Amino acid sequence: MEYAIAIFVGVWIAAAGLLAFGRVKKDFKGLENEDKEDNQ
Amino acid sequence: MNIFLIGMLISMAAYIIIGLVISKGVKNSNDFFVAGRQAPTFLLVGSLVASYCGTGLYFGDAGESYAGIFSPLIMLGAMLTVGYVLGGVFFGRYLRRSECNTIPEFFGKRFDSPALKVLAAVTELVTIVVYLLSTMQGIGTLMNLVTGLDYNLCVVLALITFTILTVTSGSKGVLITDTIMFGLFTAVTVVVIMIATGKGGGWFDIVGNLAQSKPDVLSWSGDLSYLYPSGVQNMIWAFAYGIVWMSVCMVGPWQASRYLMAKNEHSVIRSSIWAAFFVFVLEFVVKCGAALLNIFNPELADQSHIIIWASQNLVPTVLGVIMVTGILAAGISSATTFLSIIGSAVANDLVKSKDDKKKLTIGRISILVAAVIVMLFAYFNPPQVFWIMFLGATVVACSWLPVCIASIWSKRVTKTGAFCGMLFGFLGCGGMKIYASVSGISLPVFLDPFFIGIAANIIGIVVGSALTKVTPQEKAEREALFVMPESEKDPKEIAKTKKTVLASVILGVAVTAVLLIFWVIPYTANL
Repeated sequence: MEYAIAIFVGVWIAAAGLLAFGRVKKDFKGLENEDKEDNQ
Repeated sequence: MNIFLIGMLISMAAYIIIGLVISKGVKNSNDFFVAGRQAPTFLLVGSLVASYCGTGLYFGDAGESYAGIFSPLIMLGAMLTVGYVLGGVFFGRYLRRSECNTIPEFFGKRFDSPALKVLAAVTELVTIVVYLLSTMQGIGTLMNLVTGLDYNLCVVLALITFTILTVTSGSKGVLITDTIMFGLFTAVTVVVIMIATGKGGGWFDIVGNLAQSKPDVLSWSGDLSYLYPSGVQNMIWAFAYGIVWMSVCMVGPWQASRYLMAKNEHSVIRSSIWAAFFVFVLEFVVKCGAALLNIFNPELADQSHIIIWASQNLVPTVLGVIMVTGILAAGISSATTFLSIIGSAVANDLVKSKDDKKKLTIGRISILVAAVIVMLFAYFNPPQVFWIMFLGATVVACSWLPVCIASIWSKRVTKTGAFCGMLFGFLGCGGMKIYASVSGISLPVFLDPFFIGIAANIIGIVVGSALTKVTPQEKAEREALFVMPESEKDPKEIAKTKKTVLASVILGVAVTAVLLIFWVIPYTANL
């Protein structure tokens, strides 16, 4: 069960991280590319 | 006058001097309440972590881990870091975008409801006063224990320090001193625990020895004579309170209010991820460290003193003094944040005044009054740090969490729903807590006030919103929150922010690795 706890909390945090990253990626979609276009 | 007292007095004097110097730069209420909205990432990280970590961690959590419930507490401790990861992205940056001075003001503006603003301010004040009380008791206990000074005198000395600091320099001073204190207590905690465990043959040897001599301390179920009589119940409690503390880290006034001071939304998001990392480090080192200290002294009379005992007996004196000063800093940093929020709540949310100078004066006076009231409570109440702290946290979770999430992400919630949710959550949780305390009944885990309060909140939101309609003003306020300011569209900043958020996924992997390497594997291998 100790193993289960260690794995559970890691998955909990990683899942939250993915959720947050997904949101941030969606919100900033297209805006990062402006820099690349300017440089070209 | 012993060396611990000298160290503490020097540190208190330093914080007061720093506060007075910073106060020269405080020109208006914007500077005082939200630090001019210019806080960079590292100051936000410092304040987030310092406002979270206090005497509750070093006394309450450490004591409970030492006594035998390390496993439920580390599960709770790891779970709560998600509050930062989600809080910055899903709530904090919208708070910053609103450019409000306080979270109650945000609720009032979002729902076009002065009544909700007042309710939020009142629930915030009740929670913070309770939490400030536990912090002051913790500081008083700490100082009394290591210096021998009268407990009430210790409370007064601490009170003078953090009141002067907060009254003079406001949020600007709080942010800077919080960051200094965060650096101090984080570094010294890691060093002291490493040296202390070194004395017992090293971390892994101690884990192995404890697995054989006192296996319950590090077991998944915890000591079954301590909290609940079964491992499953202890885990349910840990999961529930993992959600409670996750809520605090996500939307709690003394956490989310830091985001109002950020220089931009990128700082909000990045600081939240860094805060998650540092809070986990402290949670693990303090809690696991305290549990391991059983090997040196398994029968300490008051479990909550275990870290203090280690500071006085297992490390060189100078380091012990710095450790104790660091714990004092953890307490003071939390107290200054609480006081600054009290000042903001009264001046900004409860008293109507458009005059900037008057607002500043009201804020300062209310901080002084709050400090005196809490000092009187601390004077008459005996110390009971851990459970008072949990009361405050639970009430925040039950009254604020669903409403905070709904205020951003629900098109359907109305001001009536939000008001009912907050009120029912507050009364449901608070009522159950008071009933359990007065009657002396031990509630079964599924009737914990957290479950009652959250359920009451959600019912309030759903029923209140079903009976009313979203007004055009509410709709417009919510839509405005999703308009990203042009200043936030810098591609370089966006790239950096995305990388930082992605790092939180790696944090999850790292947390599992740390728990396996430093706890689970050496423990189970020696059973």
